[in-house]
Amino acid sequence: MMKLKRPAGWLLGLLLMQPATEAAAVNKLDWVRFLEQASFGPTPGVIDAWQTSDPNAWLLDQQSRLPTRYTELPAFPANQNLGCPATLADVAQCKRDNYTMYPLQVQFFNNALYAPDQLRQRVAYTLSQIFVVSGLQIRQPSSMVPYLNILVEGALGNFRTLLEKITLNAAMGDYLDMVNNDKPSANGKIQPNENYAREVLQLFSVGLYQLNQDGTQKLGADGVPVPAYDQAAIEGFAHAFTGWTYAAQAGVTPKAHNPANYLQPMEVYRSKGVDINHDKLGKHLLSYPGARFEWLSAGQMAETDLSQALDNIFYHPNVGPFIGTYLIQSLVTSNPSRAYVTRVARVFANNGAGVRGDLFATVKAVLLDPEARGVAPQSADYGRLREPVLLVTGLLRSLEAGSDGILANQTKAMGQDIFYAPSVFSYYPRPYQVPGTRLQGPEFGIESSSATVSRHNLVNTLVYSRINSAAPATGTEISWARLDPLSKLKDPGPLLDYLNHNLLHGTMPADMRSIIAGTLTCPIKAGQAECSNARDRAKTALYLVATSAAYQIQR
Amino acid sequence: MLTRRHFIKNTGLALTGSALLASLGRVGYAEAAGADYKALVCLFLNGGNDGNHLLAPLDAEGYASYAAIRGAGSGINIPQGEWLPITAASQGGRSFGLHPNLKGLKSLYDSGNAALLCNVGTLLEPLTRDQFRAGKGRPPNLYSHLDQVLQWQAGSGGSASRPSGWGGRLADVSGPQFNGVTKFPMLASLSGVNLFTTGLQSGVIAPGSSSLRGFSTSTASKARYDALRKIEALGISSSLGRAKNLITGAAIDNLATLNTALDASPALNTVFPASALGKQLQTVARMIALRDVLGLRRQVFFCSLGGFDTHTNQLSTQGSLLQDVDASLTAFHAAMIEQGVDQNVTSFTLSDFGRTFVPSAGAGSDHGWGSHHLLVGGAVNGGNLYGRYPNLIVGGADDADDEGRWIPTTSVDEYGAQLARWFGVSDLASLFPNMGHFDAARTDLGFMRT
Repeated sequence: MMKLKRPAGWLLGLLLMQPATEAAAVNKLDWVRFLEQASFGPTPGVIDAWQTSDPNAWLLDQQSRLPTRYTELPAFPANQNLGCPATLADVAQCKRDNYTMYPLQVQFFNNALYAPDQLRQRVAYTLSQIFVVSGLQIRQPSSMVPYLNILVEGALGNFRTLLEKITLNAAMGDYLDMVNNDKPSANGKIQPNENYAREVLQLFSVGLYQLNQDGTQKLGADGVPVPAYDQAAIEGFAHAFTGWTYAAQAGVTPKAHNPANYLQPMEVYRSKGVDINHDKLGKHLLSYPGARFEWLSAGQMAETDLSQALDNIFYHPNVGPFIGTYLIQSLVTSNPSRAYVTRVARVFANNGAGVRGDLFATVKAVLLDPEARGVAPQSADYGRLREPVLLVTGLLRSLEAGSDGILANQTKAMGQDIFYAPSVFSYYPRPYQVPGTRLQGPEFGIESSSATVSRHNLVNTLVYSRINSAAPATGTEISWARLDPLSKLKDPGPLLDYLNHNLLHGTMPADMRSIIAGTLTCPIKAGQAECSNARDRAKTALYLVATSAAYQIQR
Repeated sequence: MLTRRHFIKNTGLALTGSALLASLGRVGYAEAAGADYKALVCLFLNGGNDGNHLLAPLDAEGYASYAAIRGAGSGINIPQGEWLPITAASQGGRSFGLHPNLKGLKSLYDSGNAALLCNVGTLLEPLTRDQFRAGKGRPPNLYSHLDQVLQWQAGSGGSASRPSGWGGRLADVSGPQFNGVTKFPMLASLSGVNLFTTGLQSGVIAPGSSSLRGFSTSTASKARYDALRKIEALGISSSLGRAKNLITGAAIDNLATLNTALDASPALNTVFPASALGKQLQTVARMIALRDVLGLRRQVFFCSLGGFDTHTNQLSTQGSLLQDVDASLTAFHAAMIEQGVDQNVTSFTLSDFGRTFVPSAGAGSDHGWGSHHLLVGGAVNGGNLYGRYPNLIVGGADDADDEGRWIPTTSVDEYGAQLARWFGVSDLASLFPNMGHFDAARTDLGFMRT
């Protein structure tokens, strides 16, 4: 086990090499950049804390923060007309609050904008795009809460624990059909459902191809990538995952297929103590050097098969580079170097204390890696397109917006309807190659002409107007308190410096700066010392910065 | 028909600011589109539509082979009497049934305006069960959604380093030939970014949002607009930033052009379903109506409908989806008749894959391979089935394994090539490099009138 280079020491080295003031300025810009990667966006307040914090200390502090959980909601009748009878004063609101993802979307944006456990929330959000459950299938928000809380609580825990909780979550069981997945019928004409088996391998853990630890595909003698598994392995997992149903309600006699219950994990149905819906034959799972439980023995209980099947997945050497690449792409850059992936995969394999799958250690390795830190991105190909959710939260946090969290329609217009992923491949597929380039850019997979103009129009709404909500909700409005004093000054320099610093961590190109400065006229009324159009100047500058590729691409 | 002057006059375009003026300058107008207009409308059924329940044999022997696996106790049986009977001269007079919810399409089939292509799928070359079981000729990552979607949309063309779809390549080849000077994209996606409408040179527009908002004719606003476009055109160092700017710049121009033209165009009389798919096809119909304004003699559209991944509860889920497909495609065909272009427009379905003939636990089916697909339009050699319908025998010669995953007998390339030929493309090998792997003399794929 090679020791990781200590990131704190690396930063220290940078500081020592440079004159004190310059080093401090560099460090502060990197701090802004770090917050773009590790949270839902830097706020001026957190940026100003740079003198008393650093990424390493911030991460440790974040780890200790209590999870901001989603509020448990009561299950409603499956039939909306029973749950929200016509006699109610506001049927539409009842349906919105109990049969759509609306209340969770509001909580999501509130947490993203204001929760103190930013790291945990950001990683949970990222994980929700790996372990996808969609409101297109799961109709009630109450059904999604346990799933979301598993992600929030497990975001910085161990991957193996998370994988098991997600596997047994009832909403996932419904979404990918592991619930009521019975062993083959007696006549053999009905086979176990392959949905969860296929996607847990392809999307949640291993991926399609055998990977090197640097994330590249292993190639066979013919130069073709080597598949990580075949159809027979999928059928092995499909059989291993048989026998589970919804948890029985308290006091109700369990049935082979219990009625829907999303509030508790799935459980094995037993008749006279026997898990009769579980397939008892042996199963062939994943083969790899040193594989755990490549074969499941015949006659095992459903719980044993499940535990061993998940171990078989968890110890596959792909999981580190697969999940590591995912985290890097979601937090830092779409096209990481092989060395970067290798360093992160190594931490996934062993957190330094002999533990595999430590997500906090893995995320820390992603964020403190030399390729993530430093004054400026190293290559032209560096960075990632801010997806709609992070565009909205980043802008609102940077501008200290007051918001009621009713923002889902804004991201929906840009192609990301939070908690309504169109499929288990989430909002945008991976891999995705950006047209006209040789680069990966998953977020470009939803960057249509319609979506991209909607981004500009969102900025227009925030800068020139506000997002209104029906009373008593308050809507969303950015604060001008920090920009107004700067925009009054005849010299556009301080205003542009501020935007460059807080939104672009100092990366604004000089020609872009001079174009914006050229639009910032400053009429001064007789007897006054300041520009009479101060707010307009701030709006123009902010609009042009926020719509620019320099901002839209998080670098 | 709108003339350019009419178009400008009725949109007040000259008054709507520099954005629209800039985009107008980039639009050319075909002199007389006239009769030589063609459009292809792809409807992608996301998730893998179960072709076994799109089309099934109804004769005694055929239905018995269906019912042997999907009989009354299977959880996904459609009784013999519920299928909509059709006749297919190509299948030796065998009787077939369409899904009970495809009433409109059955009517179009009966009137010669709709057809089905049987057991089509991703193939590298013709393939037998024995070859497949020996590991030969397998397309990569069979049964995986994303990979099979990409293979369906790419055909055999494109490359790993520069992925493209066959709709996009069709535009690359036919755009310069037929559309002349116009800069307005001939590719349009009503369903966001997809590989099918990704070409190597051709742009694509995704209608749906309003045009760029927040600008007026004031001096300050014009200055800000100019600055926006200048910043967008800067030669920045970020590769992803440049890619973003290209997308955004084209989108601002093209959406302004399209939305202005749409606002000025009369509504269609045809009533479309209120479903998302109905709305997509309604927009397609309205864009086809603008073909002369936009200067386009060839257009390729992409629509999609999700939810076909019916691992469970297949009967109700697929039933309501097919009802939507039926109503939307039927309305679309009516809208083409309304415009007098029903002979010029062909719509067709694609999907990830078919599904296992053997049911899966929970009254559904799993990821399969070959499937049957729909074609609608006046140019379709309708009222018949094309290709070869598989023998519904699990573990038989048409099954890749033992769950009824049909080995396709017609490839995606052959399917696309027929449509491309109708569209006016002669060099099919450049679009579908694997065409040479298949029998060029096949006569059972003549689903387009020539």
